[in-house]
Amino acid sequence: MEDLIQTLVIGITMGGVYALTAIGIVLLYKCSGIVNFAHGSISMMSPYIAITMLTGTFSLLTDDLVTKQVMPYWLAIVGGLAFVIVIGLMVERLVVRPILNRSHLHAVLACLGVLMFLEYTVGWIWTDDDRTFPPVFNEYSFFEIKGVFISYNNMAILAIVITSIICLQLFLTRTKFGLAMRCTAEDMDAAQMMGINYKKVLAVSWAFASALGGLAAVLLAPQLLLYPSFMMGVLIKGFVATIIGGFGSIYGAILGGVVLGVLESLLSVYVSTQFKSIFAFSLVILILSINPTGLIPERKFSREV
Amino acid sequence: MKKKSIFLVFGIVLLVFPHILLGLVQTKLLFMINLVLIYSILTISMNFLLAYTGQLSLGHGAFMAVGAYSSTIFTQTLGLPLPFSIILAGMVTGLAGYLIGLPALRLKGHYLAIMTLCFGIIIPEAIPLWKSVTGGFIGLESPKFHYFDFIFSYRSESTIPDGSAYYVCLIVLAAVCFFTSNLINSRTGRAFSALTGNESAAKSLGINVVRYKLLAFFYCAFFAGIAGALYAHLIGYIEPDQFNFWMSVFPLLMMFMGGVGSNAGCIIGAFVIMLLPDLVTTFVAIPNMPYILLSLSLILVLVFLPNGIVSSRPVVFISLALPENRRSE
Repeated sequence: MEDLIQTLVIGITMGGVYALTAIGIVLLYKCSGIVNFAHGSISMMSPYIAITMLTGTFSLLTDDLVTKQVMPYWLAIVGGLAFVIVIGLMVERLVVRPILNRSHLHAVLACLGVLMFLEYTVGWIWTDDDRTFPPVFNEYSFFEIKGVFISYNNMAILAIVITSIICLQLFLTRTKFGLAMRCTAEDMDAAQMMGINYKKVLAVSWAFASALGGLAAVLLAPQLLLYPSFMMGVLIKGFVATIIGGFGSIYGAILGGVVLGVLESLLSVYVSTQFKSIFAFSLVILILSINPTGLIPERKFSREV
Repeated sequence: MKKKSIFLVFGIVLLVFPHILLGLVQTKLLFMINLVLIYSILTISMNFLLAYTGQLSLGHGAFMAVGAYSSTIFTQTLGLPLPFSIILAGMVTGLAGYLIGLPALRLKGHYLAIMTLCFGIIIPEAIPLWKSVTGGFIGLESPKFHYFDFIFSYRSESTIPDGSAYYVCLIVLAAVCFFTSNLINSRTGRAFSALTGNESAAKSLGINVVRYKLLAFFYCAFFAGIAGALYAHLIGYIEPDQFNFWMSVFPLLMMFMGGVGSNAGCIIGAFVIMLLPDLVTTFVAIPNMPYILLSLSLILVLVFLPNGIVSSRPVVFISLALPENRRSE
């Protein structure tokens, strides 16, 4: 029983991070109709920036992390997120907006181009080697409730994930601009006719999505190693989560992320870690064969790649 | 008449090309050219699916893996002759394409893209699990081509396997170009292009949508499988890591770089994307710079030349010489 709960805790933590990635994907898809393949590589920048701000140097040897910290941890993370938002806005303005009126496949390809550009540029500046990234709390600090070990890190990740989801939800439902964003997601043309500045909505949705992705990357970087393409697998898991939940809604993305995380950790504990990713991707094919638009279907089908 | 003579000149240049190349520089470039030819086949297969039937596949790396592994297994363990095993590998991959076409029938747009992407990730992950046949993570050795060695017998080196592979790849590429450009003008091709528009309209015209969609997946996987088999026999060994996500994405980039909807565009795109990094490496010593420039040029082409390089002026001459297909609008 303790094993099961332990597994569930880890699964929900991972699921939360998948959900953060998936929300970013859904947000962009809803507001601009683009499936953003560059999401992972834009997010990947944030731990790199954060670690450079933390140590004040581009050569990221592991010793530097302990010996010289030039900036508090939280400030470095905030700096990383701010930088990622700027990158997201630049990608939106320079690459996506000029080709927005064309086939969405062009946008997907342009995002793949951005993905390549960012990964190789990061590889050039920080080299392609694996790095370690300091976690929020010490890796080995945890507390125990009835035989279940819960690390402070997992708690921090869950808290950050839940807080950011609530903030996003409040922004979307309680502010005027959030209303404009939801209108655009519902019907782009009608929203424009009602005087909503579509370009502004697009820019803000890119900023939000990049920030969420950057947060997910910072939370994941201590667990995975930091290297230029480390978010690629997470991004594809994010796609899987959106497919499970359906591309239609943010709730679907959260549900899909948590379900995927829990199923994965159950499978790797009780069956084998070997089949972990094969399982996730087979699940997508299975779900799509049963229901062609994901578990929670979209309401309208006008947007196609 | 004019077009015919251009075609003839172009053909002769292609035939003597490896000899000129071997006389001038080292053989590494010939190997890259072979890779370009193989990627051209792969890109044409993807283009066939996208431009003719409106389906997008992000799982071509997996098709290539199936082709490469089956051809290698046929030659190594069953001892079949190379040409036979390559065609058989194409058939096996075509079957895999048919099977992946079944769930793809009802899918549209990004759902289809992500489903095929998942397929493209599953296959390289699943290959090492079947260790007794596929050799696990270590991979397999596959025999190289030696059919056209006699053409190079004047040279001091006894065998130039890359030279042989060049002619094999060239013949296959020509055959694939010929097949696709003729297919599109046939009854089947018209049925395919009806699928790109409105499926219901196609159905009302009496086109069996299910049958033609599966047929399209079969053809495209067949070509991709043959490209995979050629790849295996060119490289000489195969391992699961070679068929990663980028193997599926590169043909897509090539297609859009060159121009969607035309075989010439696919070949030009393959040339640019495969050879540009090598060219840059000779001038710039900064690591990763070739790929940074490549991705930048891709973004620029996508933003400023929506129909690819083929739509710009200087390459019209080259496109004249190649069998031209319907351009996508």
